[in-house]
Amino acid sequence: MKHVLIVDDKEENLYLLRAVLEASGKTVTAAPNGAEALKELRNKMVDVIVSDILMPVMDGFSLCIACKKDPIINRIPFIFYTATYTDASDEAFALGLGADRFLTKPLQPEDIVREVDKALCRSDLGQAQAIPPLDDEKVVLKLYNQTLVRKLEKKMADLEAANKQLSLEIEGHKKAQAALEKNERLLRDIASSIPGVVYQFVLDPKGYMSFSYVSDGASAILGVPPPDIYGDAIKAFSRVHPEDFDMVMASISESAQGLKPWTMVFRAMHQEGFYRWVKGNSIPRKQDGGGVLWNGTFFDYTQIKDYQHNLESKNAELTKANTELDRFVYSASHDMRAPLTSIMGLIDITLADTTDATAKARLNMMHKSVEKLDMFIRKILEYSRNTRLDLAHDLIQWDKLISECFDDLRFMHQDSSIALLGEVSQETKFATDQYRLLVVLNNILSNAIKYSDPHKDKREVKVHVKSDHNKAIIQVMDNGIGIQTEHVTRIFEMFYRATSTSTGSGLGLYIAMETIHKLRGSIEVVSELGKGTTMTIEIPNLYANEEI
Amino acid sequence: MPMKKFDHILLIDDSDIDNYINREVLEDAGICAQITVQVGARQAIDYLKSLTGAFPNVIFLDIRMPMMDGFDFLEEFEHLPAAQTIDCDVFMLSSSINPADLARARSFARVKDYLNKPLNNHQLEAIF
Repeated sequence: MKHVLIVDDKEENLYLLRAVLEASGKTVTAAPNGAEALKELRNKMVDVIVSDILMPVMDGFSLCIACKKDPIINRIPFIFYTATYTDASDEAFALGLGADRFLTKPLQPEDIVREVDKALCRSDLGQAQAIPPLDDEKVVLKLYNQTLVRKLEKKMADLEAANKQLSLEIEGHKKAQAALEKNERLLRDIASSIPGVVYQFVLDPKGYMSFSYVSDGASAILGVPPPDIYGDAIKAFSRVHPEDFDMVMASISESAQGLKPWTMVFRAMHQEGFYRWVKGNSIPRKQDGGGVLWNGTFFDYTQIKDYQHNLESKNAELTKANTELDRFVYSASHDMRAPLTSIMGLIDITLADTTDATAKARLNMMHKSVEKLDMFIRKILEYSRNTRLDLAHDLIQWDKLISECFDDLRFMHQDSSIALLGEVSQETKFATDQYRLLVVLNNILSNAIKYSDPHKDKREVKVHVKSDHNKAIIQVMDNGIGIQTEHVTRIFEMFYRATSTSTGSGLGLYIAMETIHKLRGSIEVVSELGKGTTMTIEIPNLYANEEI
Repeated sequence: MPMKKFDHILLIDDSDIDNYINREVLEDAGICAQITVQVGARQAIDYLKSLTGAFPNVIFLDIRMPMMDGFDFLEEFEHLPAAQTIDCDVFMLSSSINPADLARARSFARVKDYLNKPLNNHQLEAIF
């Protein structure tokens, strides 16, 4: 069995060579450097040497020189196997020293075995490399030095280049690191200073839930510092109010399934036994591998919830108060009107039975006073209802409405000498609050009749209605006494009466104006003293926007 | 003596004064042979149920009355035998000007019209 001495400073190289050579039936001795190899050569019968070049203590070249100088071992074939000395001049120098072969790493195992066998074969046949004419030791040393210097220079150049490359890389890394740190600081600064919690939440394909990021605000809202929340979400979920727990869980799985934004208001324990309202918002996104990831926020919702609660109860109270007030107003008006109507009835029947002219005149005056009082009650009721009630949407048939209005007015004023003339053009369906519309029309038409001019032969009140898709324009024109210019702007003021002969309450036009505003309409007045007054009312059609 | 327009008119009101006024106005108008007054809705229903003579042709009905109001009366009135009530017109006669009362009164088939107090000749001319 042939004995191979392998020399290399690298464990793994020795291991590989030994394995390859032993597999081809060789005995192998290993040495970590030239000096150790020389010791082995003195003690063992070695048939071939396979040596690396660059090694500590004693390199391959020195080992080769030593071998070739030693008459006992100088016939053992010497093979260089190197990865570092790969120049042609290196090979020439090596072979000049008396080496058999100069092999460059890495070689296939079979090639190594073949080269070793070839060397052994030549040695057996006595064809081993002749001992070189290295008689001039100085020449050898000079060559050796040159080789080393060359190697060193190359190494230095390589090292310098590597060094340069490395500093460039380090510089790049430093910059990247600084940018990264700056970003992280910014992120942490934002996350920790906003009022609330920023988080990232993950649901993995197996259904395991965890927080991959939670900002510092978590301590205040969930009562748990971020380190305790990271990982398994169970710690965070344990802070959710038991009554809200199922709802929260259901909403998470719903958001995961539909990849829909998650919004939830729930209670969370911020310290033992104390709960706060928390609003959570997050956007889910599918992850590679099947999980879902949410980026989102938690905010303390307690104050808003309190406001909301207050608002709701205030609203309920107000609605109740409003209903009660409406009932009260009606009840009070009824309680006032009931005895008033009795008085009026009594006056009427007494009038019918009386023939005494003075008594009749007085009873008529009483009747008028009572009517005035009744009218005042009605006005207060109209005002009260207008300010409080919601806008109703009723379909209006203008011709019917105007003619009914005229009937009521004729009945109320008992004056057939004033002609009431209507003209209606209605293009489409029209909707508004009928009660309020009648309040407006009755007040304005009553005024037109009340302030008719007794000196004119043909007294008349004309109503023109033009109703279309968008609005209705109602013009009320009379040839009455008219209004003095300086009063025109003031007639809609509360309790303002423009004539000294006025027997009204001063509320009629004020209520008309207020009611028109409720109907989102407007009114304009043009009047000339002694000629008459024209009021133009514009009311939007509420039918345009919705079905009734 | 001219033919009376109605045989029998029933007045239902808790106010004695109003009943007095209404009776006067109706008597002055001379349109009715018999006028009956009931001072409460309950009494009126009992009266109508026990009635053996002529069923009223017209009822004037107040709304605000203690215990049982005009609307309660109308609901019970609808359960009386149709043969009796079919030719009887009910007129609400109230001092209420609440549109809700007006609307509610109109929802009853038997109610012919809604009058505001006090009852007077003009109203009678308009409805009869």
